[in-house]
Parts: sequence; C-alpha cells; structure tokens
Amino acid sequence: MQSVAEIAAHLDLPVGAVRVLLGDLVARNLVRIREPHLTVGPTEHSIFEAVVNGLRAL
Amino acid sequence: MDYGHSERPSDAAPLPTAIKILIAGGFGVGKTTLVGAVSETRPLRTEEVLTESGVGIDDLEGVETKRTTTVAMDFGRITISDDLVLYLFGTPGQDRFWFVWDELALGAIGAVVLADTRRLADCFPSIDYFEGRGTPFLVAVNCFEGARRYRLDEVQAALNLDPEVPVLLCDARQRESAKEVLIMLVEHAMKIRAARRAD
Repeated sequence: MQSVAEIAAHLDLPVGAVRVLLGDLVARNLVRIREPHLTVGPTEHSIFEAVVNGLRAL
Repeated sequence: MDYGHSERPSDAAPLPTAIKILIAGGFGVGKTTLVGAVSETRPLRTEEVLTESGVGIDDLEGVETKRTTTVAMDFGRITISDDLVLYLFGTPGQDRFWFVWDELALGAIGAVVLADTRRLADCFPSIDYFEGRGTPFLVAVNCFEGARRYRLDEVQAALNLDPEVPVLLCDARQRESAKEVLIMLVEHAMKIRAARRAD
C-alpha cells in the first residue's frame, strides 16, 4: 500500500497529476483505494492503542 | 454452486489501515526534521531550494541557519504492523501554500503544532486552523540551541490555548523525543474522540 503522496514523490510528479492518473486506474479496477477514515467504536480504540504501542516499540 | 476463479486474488488480502498525523508550524520550525527523526525512510518530499527572489519573500529572521524550505509538503511513513501504517505529513510552512492543507487534513487523527519560542506567533495560524476544524492537536516546543527557554505554562498562556491542549518540550532531531510527541498526540486524540462519543 502506498499513499498518493508517496507515489507522487517516487514518480517525481505533482500530486494533482498522480491523482488524475490514479483516478483512471481506479476506473479500470487496476488499483484499489483506501480512505484514511477510521471506523468508530471499539475497533477505533484498539487501532489507537496499537499505534501507541507500535510507536513505543520503535 | 460455482463461484468461479477470482480474477483479482489480491482482493482477498485486507488492506492495511492508514493513520495520518499532521506536523504543522511556522516556517523553519523543524517539521521536516521531526518527520525524519521517526520515519522509517528518509522523508519523501516535494521541495524547492529557495532562490534569491524567494529569500526576499520569506521572512528569515530568527532562522539564520536554514537555507531551504519545503514549499509543498514532506512526509514519512512508519509501518506499525502488516495491517497498520502511520503517515506523517508535514504541512507547508508558508501561508501561500495553505491551499494544500484542506486535502492534507482530511482523515487525519490529529496534528502536532511545532513551535519555536523565538517566533511563537508563527504557530497561531496552525492553531486557529486545527481549532476551527476540530482536529485534536498538541503544541510541541522545539528547543533550538540558543533559544530562550520558556516555561510550558508561559507558552500555554502566550498562545491562549485551551487548558486541555497538551504543551510539551521536544527536540525534533531526537528520535525518542519525536516518538514521545507522537505518542502523546495519539493518546490525546483518543481522549478527545472518547469524550465526543460520550456527548
């Protein structure tokens, strides 16, 4: 998984251009996107705890 | 029943959850340094070296040793586990690049506002922005060499912060210090989200 920003940096292209390119790829089912939204509820809490523990372990 | 062969077997693998944290603050306050201190790779960036005309536009007073600035954004990545990735996005330091912010802030769990006590007012716009959006944030005072140290309550008062907003000292160059800042932010964001759910 890569963020749009990462792809743009690796390709050395503006984010806007990469977004258009990715939009075309999404339309052709060649890439999948995951929005950075959290599901609310106990899952959210466990994700936050996993982040804290992960950071401590760095 | 025939389900057929999946054309895209990769669909079976769950995508990792991406968590986004913003690193904000004034020009030259150490955002890129902080991202670099904890990121698993060198910060990726879209950066232009300031030309002479750029130097005329940017106010470099108090940031004498800084030669370049990030005019778009820089970011880092921390892979927590196979299913959890943390992204750190440095926001543009200059007002004229603020149009990038709205997109950056989308889905972010919280923000670190880096402050330099020599130019404390520089972080007002960031604070206003996150207060306005309801994004959980904390203020991390980056302790520059030679900068006058202020007590945390002095910084809190000077920035007119809500008493619930955490304020801490940090050294953006130090991995342990940067980690501490991020941990405190995530814990703060947890608290705020829990309180909002309870309302």
